[in-house]
Amino acid sequence: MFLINRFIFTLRTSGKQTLFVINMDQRKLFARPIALFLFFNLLFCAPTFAQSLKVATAANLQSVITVLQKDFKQRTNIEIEPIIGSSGKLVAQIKNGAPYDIFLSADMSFPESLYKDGFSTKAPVVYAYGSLIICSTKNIGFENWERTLLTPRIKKIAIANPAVAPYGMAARQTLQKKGILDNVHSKMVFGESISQVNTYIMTGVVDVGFTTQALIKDPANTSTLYWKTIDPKSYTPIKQGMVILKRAAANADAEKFYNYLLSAEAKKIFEQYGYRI
Amino acid sequence: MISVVIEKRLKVYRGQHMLKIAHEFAGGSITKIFGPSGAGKTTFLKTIAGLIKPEQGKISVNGEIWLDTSSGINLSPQKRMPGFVFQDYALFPNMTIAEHLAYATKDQAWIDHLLKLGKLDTLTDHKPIHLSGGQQQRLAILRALAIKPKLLLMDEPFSALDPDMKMELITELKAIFKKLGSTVLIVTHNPQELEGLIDNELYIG
Amino acid sequence: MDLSPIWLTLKLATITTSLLFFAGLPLARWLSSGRSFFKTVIEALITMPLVLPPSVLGFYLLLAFSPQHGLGKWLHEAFDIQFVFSFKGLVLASFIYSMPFMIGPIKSALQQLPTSLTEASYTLGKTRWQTFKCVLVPNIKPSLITAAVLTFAHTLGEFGVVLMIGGNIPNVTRVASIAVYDAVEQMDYTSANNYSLILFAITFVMVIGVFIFNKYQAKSPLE
Repeated sequence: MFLINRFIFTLRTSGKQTLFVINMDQRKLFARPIALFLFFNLLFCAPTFAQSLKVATAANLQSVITVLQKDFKQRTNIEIEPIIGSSGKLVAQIKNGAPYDIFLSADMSFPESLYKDGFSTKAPVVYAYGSLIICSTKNIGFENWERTLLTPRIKKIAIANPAVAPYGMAARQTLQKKGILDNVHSKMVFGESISQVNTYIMTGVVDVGFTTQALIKDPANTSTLYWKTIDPKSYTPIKQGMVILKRAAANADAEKFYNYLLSAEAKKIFEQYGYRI
Repeated sequence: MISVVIEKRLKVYRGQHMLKIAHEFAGGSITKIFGPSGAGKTTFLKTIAGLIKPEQGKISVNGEIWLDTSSGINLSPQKRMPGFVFQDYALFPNMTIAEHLAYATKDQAWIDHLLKLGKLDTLTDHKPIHLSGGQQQRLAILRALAIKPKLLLMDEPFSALDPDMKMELITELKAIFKKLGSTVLIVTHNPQELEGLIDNELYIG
Repeated sequence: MDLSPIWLTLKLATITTSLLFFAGLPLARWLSSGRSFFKTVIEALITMPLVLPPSVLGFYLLLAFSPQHGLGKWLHEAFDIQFVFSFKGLVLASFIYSMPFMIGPIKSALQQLPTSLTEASYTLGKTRWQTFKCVLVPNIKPSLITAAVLTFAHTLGEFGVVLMIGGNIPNVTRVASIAVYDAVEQMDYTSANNYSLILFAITFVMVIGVFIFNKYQAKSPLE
């Protein structure tokens, strides 16, 4: 309440020249603690900055990246630091100067736009093919999911925002192909990323969601999930591409990780999580 | 007849002291209450008004029991409806003079009479912020009188008035008090004040 | 350009502010008089949204109203109401989240009024309600306006909670703050800028309006 009162007070006394001015006492009061805070922050931040590889990772890889991270560390003793987000958001960040070394997208067009705009030195390569599933915490019965989605029993359907998440685009495509996109449109809920879609599915606030098969294998997932793979022919294959970003062009570690992801060992891990190579 | 017996703990600068009063005020009388600052004169008035609750006490007004701590009776100020003139006037900043009196009573004739008496009849659409100190104090008195109170409690009601105004007002008030049959308690700092108006004195100290 | 997020945002802010005004006044009155441990607890709870990250509130609302268990389940089965992914849900979230901005200024203003005003009204035989309506409320008008404006402006800017429980549904929960975020994610900086400018202009005009109103109020006795 004190903060509000301070603000109110300055609003009320705007006739005088005290608009939004923190008075001297408050400045002195906060100067030392703030300085100390900043100092310790920098102290603890510094080590991590130099060492690990920053890997911008599409949200659908959330579970598999930690396994890859551990395996890679075991083999090469190189530390990677995954930054998870929707592909679209990560690209926007990269184009605005985000300090990432490698970008693992959920499609090809996002990394291609980076290459086109000069943010990577090489064209993107495919590291895996994503697998779309329909999923729920309730046992709905997915044999005829196209028909089930139209029933009043299904009130909310979650997909990732097609504009920024390739799995969302794939979901949309499959709904369109099955001819039910217009009918279910009013039931749709858009997750900011595949991660948010997974949250919606797991907390049961939606009846079904379209997500990545990797969710099923995620060890953090403790609830029972009912799911079915979506016929890959009903959506454009989710070719997941990656690029080394310009700032890491000369970074030997980045090259190593890039090659590792294309190796047989990594492929095995991807397959375990439902990706196809 | 008003009978007041109260015991109230007062918080003063260093510690506390106990205000103990037992007094009878004759019906229709005008009593001056005086004494040093901090003695508890305002607290005394507020206790009678029901705005403050004493630790122990019994107050009866014209046979009606307003307060009896031993049997749990404690009428709210709304039920007691004493006329109260506050030391800080307690005027409502949002109301004009006319609105103040209309808030207190619906008796328009009485309102007009009071306005003339208090010489505020030409200022009825002014709000307190546009009134002088003396005018404000007169309004505070008029507002208390508007409800035709049987018991009138006045806390330093003439402090802002010049001597002539005071004399005039007091003469008029005396007539009104008689007409209403009100019992009046007036707190003042000034022991010489109010000669000619009062019937009795009560010292609190 | 699709202006529906702007209208949706204005609608949300207007409804939230109105509801909070009518619920907040009596609550602020209750909190401003007397003192009890219970009142302190309630006041602390009301103030929580000021210091809690919006995502925390969004998270708890998501869990609380999940149709799978508890309260959410009951609401869903008994009344077919779902608060998550609905405009109603945003109103509820905004109501909780903006409450301190409504209650704070009003409570302070009521506490700053001299108690003798209330006492005078009581001695005139007026009830608590009459006193509140005729004496207290008219004398805290500037604070009422400030509270309403702050609440409105704060609701306009709500993002974290809506992100959690809104579901980004066009014309239902896709408010301006989400639309800006979306546009930035999609690198549609033109739309992002347009929405942002409109929001900025609205809030700026409101804040200036409050300043001018307060200055005018303070000036008038000299006329």
